[in-house]
Amino acid sequence: MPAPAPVDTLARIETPENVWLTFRLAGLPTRMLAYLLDLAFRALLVFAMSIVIGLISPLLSFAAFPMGVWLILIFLLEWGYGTIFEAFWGGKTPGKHILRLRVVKTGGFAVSFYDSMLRNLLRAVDVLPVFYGVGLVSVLLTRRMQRLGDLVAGTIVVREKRRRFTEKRALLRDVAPLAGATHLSGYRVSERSLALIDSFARRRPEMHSARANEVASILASPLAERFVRGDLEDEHLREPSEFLLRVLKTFTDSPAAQPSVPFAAPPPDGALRGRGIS
Amino acid sequence: VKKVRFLKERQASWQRFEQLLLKAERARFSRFAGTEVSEFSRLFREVCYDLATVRSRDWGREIEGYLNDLVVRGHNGFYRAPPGRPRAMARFFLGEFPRLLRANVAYFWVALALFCIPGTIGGVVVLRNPALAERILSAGELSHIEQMYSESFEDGDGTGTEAGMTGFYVYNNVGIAFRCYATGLLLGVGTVFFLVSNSLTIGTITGYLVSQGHSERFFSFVISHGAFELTAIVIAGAAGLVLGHSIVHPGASTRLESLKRRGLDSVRLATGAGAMLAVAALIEAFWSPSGAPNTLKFAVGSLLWILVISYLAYAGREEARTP
Repeated sequence: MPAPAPVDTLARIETPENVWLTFRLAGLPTRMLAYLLDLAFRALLVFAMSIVIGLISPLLSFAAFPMGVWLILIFLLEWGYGTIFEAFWGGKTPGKHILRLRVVKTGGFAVSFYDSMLRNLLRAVDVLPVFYGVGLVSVLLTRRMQRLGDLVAGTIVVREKRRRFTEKRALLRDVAPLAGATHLSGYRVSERSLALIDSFARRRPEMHSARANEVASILASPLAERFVRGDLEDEHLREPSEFLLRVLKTFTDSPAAQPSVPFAAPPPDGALRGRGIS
Repeated sequence: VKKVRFLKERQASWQRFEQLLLKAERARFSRFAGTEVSEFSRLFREVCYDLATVRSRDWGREIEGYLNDLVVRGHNGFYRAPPGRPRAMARFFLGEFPRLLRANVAYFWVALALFCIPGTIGGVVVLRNPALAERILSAGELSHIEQMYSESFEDGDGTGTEAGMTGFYVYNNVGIAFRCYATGLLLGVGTVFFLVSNSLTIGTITGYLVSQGHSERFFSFVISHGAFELTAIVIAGAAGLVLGHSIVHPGASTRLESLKRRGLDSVRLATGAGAMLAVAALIEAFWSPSGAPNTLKFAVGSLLWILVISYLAYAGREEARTP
């Protein structure tokens, strides 16, 4: 029996390369904020144009001409703003750009001109009856948080986060490896556990230290039991999160990870050098 | 493969791929040399494979997230829709748009009926009893309209009024057409409402002006731009009906699938209608109110009607035959 779809804000898409991609969908508050930013930007443009036209109109004999230009600009801002930006700027408007949002097709690829035109013209229905009532309800009710225009055009709004690797070396700089721990029971911490500790280490700075210890103790206790030595037991009880970092440092060092050498000297500090990411 | 070794070996490829991505995002792929394109596609497949490997071994969210982002960006660049070119635009107006309309001609006839019948009835009723015009339009509006057509037209006075009016017509008419189209999403009800209400207004004005004896001036004014404007409103209505019909009667697919399938066609029709209205705005501002004699306006107007109708009926036929 297939597992039920998880309840989260990720959209999963299978590419022609048979790889599943995950997109983080943009929620209502972010999209509203992007809309307000765009609104402010549009207001600014209208304001600037009005000033320019107000200044030059009295100097011209054909005074009504700038008025026509102004009205066409208003029209373009009202109906074409989203389309023009999204179609020619990879699915982004200035507001979306600032908040790192992007409109993509549900298949994950970029929107075409008519996709964008479709979702932006249908905005006229999403704004009904007042203040995007229809659009709000639609975003709340659909799995991929789409307003009606998105549903028909087959588009989603996703959040982009450029991820960078933090150098593990930086994370573990002040951490001492477990002295001679690796020989204990010949036990080696699995790659999977190390990956888990690794994600923990990266998030630890965001956590309150008491909470970090609480979370860490879940894994630290069974690990410390494997390392039967008493002083390690004590240490993990005092500072579980520190203990986990030391485990990580010890076992990601390949020389130390050789369990064959009993009581191997702790690896030199620079042992991780030359391994930029991990 | 151990995680550490895997990372060490693959890192260079990822960095190279990132470089190419940055270049592709800044410029376009057309700037790429041939070798770079093949390198990009090779690296893209490699990164996809790496992502699958990392997932299957559960090597941590950090690296998975990083590779996922790389693949997303690569996917985005690789399967990007071709950018709109002026040539594509020309192809649309020279063939695709009228062909698309002919493929959906049933919607056009329904929209035409909705746009003609209420107005004709309204017009005839008002012609018989002009006082009834006030049921549709206010007395102030009627006297304003009547005043407009009781003076003879003169050439522009060089203050650029024509350009100003062009802007107004674009803003007003294209906005109405787009709203008429979009509200078709409400099961077609919005579109029907826009078509019928505009029809009634236009019919009432026509009937009223004819009853007041301004028919020649009125018809000489509207005939030219009407060729583009009236047909474009009907086309926008037809596009709205395409949307409405695809929800009301989705056939074998779900309503949403049916909407998605027809949505793109409908928006292309609406786009064409918008462009026709922009042309109409220019004619309405520059030619229709000009001081040219009425006979000339009737002649030009008739020619424009023939032009628009034969454009919609015949343009793009040869291409359809020879694919």
